Amino acid sequence: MSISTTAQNPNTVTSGRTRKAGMARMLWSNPRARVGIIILVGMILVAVFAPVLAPYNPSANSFLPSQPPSWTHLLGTTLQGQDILSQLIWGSRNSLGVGFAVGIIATALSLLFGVLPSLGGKLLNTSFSTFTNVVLILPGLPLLIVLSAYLHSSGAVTIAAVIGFTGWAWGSRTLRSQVMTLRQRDFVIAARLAGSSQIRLLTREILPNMLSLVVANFMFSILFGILSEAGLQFLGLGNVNAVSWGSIIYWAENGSALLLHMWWWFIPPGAAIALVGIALALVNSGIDQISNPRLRSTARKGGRNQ
Amino acid sequence: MRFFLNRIGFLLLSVWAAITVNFLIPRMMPGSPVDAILAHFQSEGAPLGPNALHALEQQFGLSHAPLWTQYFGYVNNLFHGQLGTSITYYPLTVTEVIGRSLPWTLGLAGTATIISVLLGTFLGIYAAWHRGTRIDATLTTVTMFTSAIPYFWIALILVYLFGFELNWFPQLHAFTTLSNGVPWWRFSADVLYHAVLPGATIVISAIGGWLVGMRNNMVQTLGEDYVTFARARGVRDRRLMVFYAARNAILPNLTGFAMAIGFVVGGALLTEVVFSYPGIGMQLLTAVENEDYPLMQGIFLIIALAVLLANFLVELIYGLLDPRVRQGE
Amino acid sequence: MIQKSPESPAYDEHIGVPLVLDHVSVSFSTPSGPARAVNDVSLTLNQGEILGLVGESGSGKSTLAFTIMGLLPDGAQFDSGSVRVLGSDLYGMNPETLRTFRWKRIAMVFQSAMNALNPVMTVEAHIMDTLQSHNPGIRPEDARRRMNEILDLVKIDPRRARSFPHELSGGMKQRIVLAIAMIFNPPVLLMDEPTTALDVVVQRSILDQVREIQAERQMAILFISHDFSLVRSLAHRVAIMYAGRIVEITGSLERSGPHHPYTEGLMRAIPELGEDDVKIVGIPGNPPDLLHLPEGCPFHPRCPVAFNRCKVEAPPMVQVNDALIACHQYTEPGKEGLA
Repeated sequence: MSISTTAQNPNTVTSGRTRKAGMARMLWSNPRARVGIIILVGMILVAVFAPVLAPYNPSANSFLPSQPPSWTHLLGTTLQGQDILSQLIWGSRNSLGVGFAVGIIATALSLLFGVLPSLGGKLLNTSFSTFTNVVLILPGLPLLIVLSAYLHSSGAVTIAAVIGFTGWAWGSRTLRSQVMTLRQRDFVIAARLAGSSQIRLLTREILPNMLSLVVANFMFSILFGILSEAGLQFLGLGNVNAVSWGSIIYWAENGSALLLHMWWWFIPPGAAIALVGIALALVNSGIDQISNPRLRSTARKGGRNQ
Repeated sequence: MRFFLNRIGFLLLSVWAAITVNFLIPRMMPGSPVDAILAHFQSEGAPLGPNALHALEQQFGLSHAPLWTQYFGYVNNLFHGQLGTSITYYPLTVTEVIGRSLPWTLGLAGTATIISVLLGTFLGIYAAWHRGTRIDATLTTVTMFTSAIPYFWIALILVYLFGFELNWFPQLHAFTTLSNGVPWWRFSADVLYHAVLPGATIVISAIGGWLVGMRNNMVQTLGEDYVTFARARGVRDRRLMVFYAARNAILPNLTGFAMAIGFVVGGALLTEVVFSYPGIGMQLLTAVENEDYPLMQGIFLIIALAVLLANFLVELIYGLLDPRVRQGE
Repeated sequence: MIQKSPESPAYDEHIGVPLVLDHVSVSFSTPSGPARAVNDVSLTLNQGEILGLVGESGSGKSTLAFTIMGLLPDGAQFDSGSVRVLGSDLYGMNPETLRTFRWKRIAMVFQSAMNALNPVMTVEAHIMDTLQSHNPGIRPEDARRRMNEILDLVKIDPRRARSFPHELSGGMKQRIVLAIAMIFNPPVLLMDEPTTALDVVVQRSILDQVREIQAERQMAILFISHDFSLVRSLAHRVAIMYAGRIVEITGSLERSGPHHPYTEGLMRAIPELGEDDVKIVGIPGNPPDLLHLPEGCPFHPRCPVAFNRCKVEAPPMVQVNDALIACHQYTEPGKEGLA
C-alpha cells in the first residue's frame, strides 16, 4: 500500500569498476587530496632520480665542515663535511622505500587477518579477531626496539619486514569491522541468496566496496613505516651508515648539532618526514570526505536553528 | 557482569601473550645474548657467580632443557617478581632499575597524555559545534599537520628553540643535579620546570588524533535524530552539546584511546631519549646500547603490562559510560 | 500578501488558527546547485482537525515538517514565506523565544522513534530534561507526577521510566516519544510517519491512541505519511505533496469526484475493500529529481492527461467543488486561477 514507486537508497552501491574510476576522479577533484598526491609523486620522483638530482656524493666528506646553507651547499654541510642536500635526496630512497615496503606488507597482512577469516566459520572469525586485538595493544615501538637489538644494525629489508609485521593490527581491525557491516547490507545478502559462493561474494561484492578503506589503510601503513624507520634510525638501531632521513638526524644529534646551533643539519630531514606525513594525511582526509559526506559540513553553527 | 568477565578474560589472554612473546624473542632471534653478556663481564674483570649464571641461562634459554620446562621456569620466576640482574647497573636487579625509572615515565607521559586527551576532546567538541567555520578549519588543519610529524623531531625543535636559542627552559634531564638538601617544594618546581618541554612534545604530537577523532564523531552524533529531537524539546544548547552529542561521541573515541595507548608509550619513549629523561624509555635505550638483555626484556615486559592494564581500565570506563555495553549487549 | 493565499482566512490575525503556512519555500544547497525541497507551500491546519499530508519519499514532506518546527537540517535554507503557529511567526523569533515556544505550542513525533531517544539516557532523564528545559524551577515531585500522567496516557508502566532506550521495544519507544510530545498539551502536533517502522498490530494500537487523545483534547494534528490508505482512515482532510509542492488539498477522499491526476494515481494503487478483481495500477515513471525539475507542471512527464500547456506553465491552485487542485485540467484557458 505504500506509494513509493522506486526503492530509495541514497547509498546505492555501484559496481566495482565504475567505483574505482569514480574514486580516482573524486580524489583528484578534492583540493586537499590533490595537493597530497602532487607532493607524494614529487617525492617519489626525487627518490627515483636521486643520482641525477643530488649535487654531490652523499657520503663524501670532502667539504668544509659545519657550513651554513650557501649557494654551493643549499642546505649546508655536516660536522664531517658532507653535503646535507645530497644526503637528503639520497636518504629519500631508504625512507620512502622502507615506508612503501611496510605499507605493502602491513596492508597484505591486515587483509589476510581482517578479511579472509570472514570466509570461515564463527570460531575462526572470533579467534582471528581476538588475536588481532592482542597484537594491536602490545606496544609496537618497544617491541621493535627489542627486536632490532637482537638483529644488530640490520639492513633496510629486515627493518621493513619487522615494522610491517608489528604494524598490521590496526588496519586489520578496521577492515574487519567494515567487512562485517558490508555483509549485512542488502546487496550482499541478495547476492548470497542468489547463490554466490563465499569467495565470489568477497571478491565481487565486498572488496570493491572497501577500496577506499584499503587505500586509507595503505597510506597509514606507509606513514607508520616511515615514522617507525626514522624512530629506529634516530635511536641508532638501524644501520646508521645507510643514508636515510632518520640516520641524518641520528648523526646530527650525536654531532651536537643543537649545541653548535647547526639547525640546517636536523631540521631538513625532519621536515622531509613531516612533508610526507602531511601529504599522506591530506590524501586521507580527501578519502574521508569522499566516503563520509557528513564530514564535508557546510558552514553552520551547531546549536542554532538557521 | 558478562562485560566485566569478558574484559578480564581479554586482559589475562593479552598478559599471557605479552609474557610468551617476551619468552620467545631471545630464543627465536639469531645470536646468543648470554655469550654477549658473559663477554661483557669477562672484559670488566668481574666474572659472574654460578647463581647469576644459572639465572641467565634460564632466562635466555641457554640450557638444553625442553622448551616447555624452560617456559615453566620462566613463568615461575616472573610470578616471584624475578626479572634477572641488570648488567649495566650490576648488581642491581632489573626490578630495582625499573622501580627507579618507572615513576618518571608515569609522571611525564601519564600527565602529558591526560592533558592531551582532555584538551583534544574539548577542542574537538568545540570544532564540531562550530563546524564549517574558520576556527574549525584552522584547528583541524593545524592538528592534521602536527600529528603527521615525528615526536622526536618536535622534541628536537623545542629543545633547540627554547633550550639552546632562547634559554627559557632546561635542555636535558628531569631535574637539576646537586639539588641535595633543597626544600621539597623547590625540588618539585625544578622537576616541573624540566618537564615543560618534554611534556609539550607529547601534548603537541598526541593532541591531533584526539581532536580530529572527537570532532568527526561529534559531527556524526550532531546529525543523529536524538539530538534534533532534544533540540525540538527545548533542551538548551550547552546541555545538548555535552549530554547528547559529546556524551555519545566520546564512546568510540574512548575505544580508539584504549587501542592507541601503545602508540603513546612509543612516542613518550622517543621523547625521553631526546631529553635524556631518566624514565623507562631512556633506560630501554641504555639497555640496548649496553647489550643489557635482562634489563631490556624486563622493561619490554613492564611496558607491555602497563599498556595492557591501562587498556583494561579504559575499557571499564567505557562500560560505565555506555549502558548498552554494561548490560552485555 | 496573506489575503491572496487561497488557504488563509480573510483576516490578517491568525490568533485562533493553530497553523498557517504562507508560500513557504525551502531549498538545500548541493554541490550541483540549490535543490528546492519545499516549493511555495501554503496550507492551514484548523482547530480540532487532523490534516493528512501524503507524498512519495523525497517529495519534501519531512523537510516541510522540520521547517514547521523551525529545525531546518544542515544545508537547508528558508527562502521565503512564513510559518505561523497560533498567530506567531516562527521565523521572526529570536532563538531563545523559539526554544521556549516550541514544544509548549507545537510539538512533533519523529519518524524514527528508534533513534529519537539518547542511547545513554533513561526514559525518565528524557522526560525530566524536557520539563526542566521549559521550567527550570520545577519541583521534583511535580515533575514526577507529570511524568507518570503522560506515561499513563500512552499506557506505559511508570516503572519503565528507569529503562534505557535499548531495553524497550519499538512500539514502547514510539509511545514514549508520543508521551514526550504530549507533555505540555501542545495545541498543535506534527506526526512524521509515526508508525512506519512498526508492525501492523502495534501501529493499529498507537493510532487508536492518537485518535482517542486527539478527540479528547481537540488538538490540531498534521499527520505525515507515505501510506495513503492509512491517512485516509485517520484524517479529516488530505494534502497531497509532489516534488515539493502541494498539488491537492481535499476533504473528499472518494475515488469519484475531481482529483489531481497524481491523486487519482495514488488512489488507483490501493485495492478497494469488497472489490473482487483487484487490479493495482502504479504510477508510471520515477519521482522527479529536485535538481532537474521539468518545466511547467512538475508532474507532466508522468501524467496520463498532460497537454501542451502543462509543459510550459505551472498550474495555480483552483477551487474545484470542495477541493483545491493545482492542475490545468481545471483552470480555464485565459483565466487566472485564484492564486
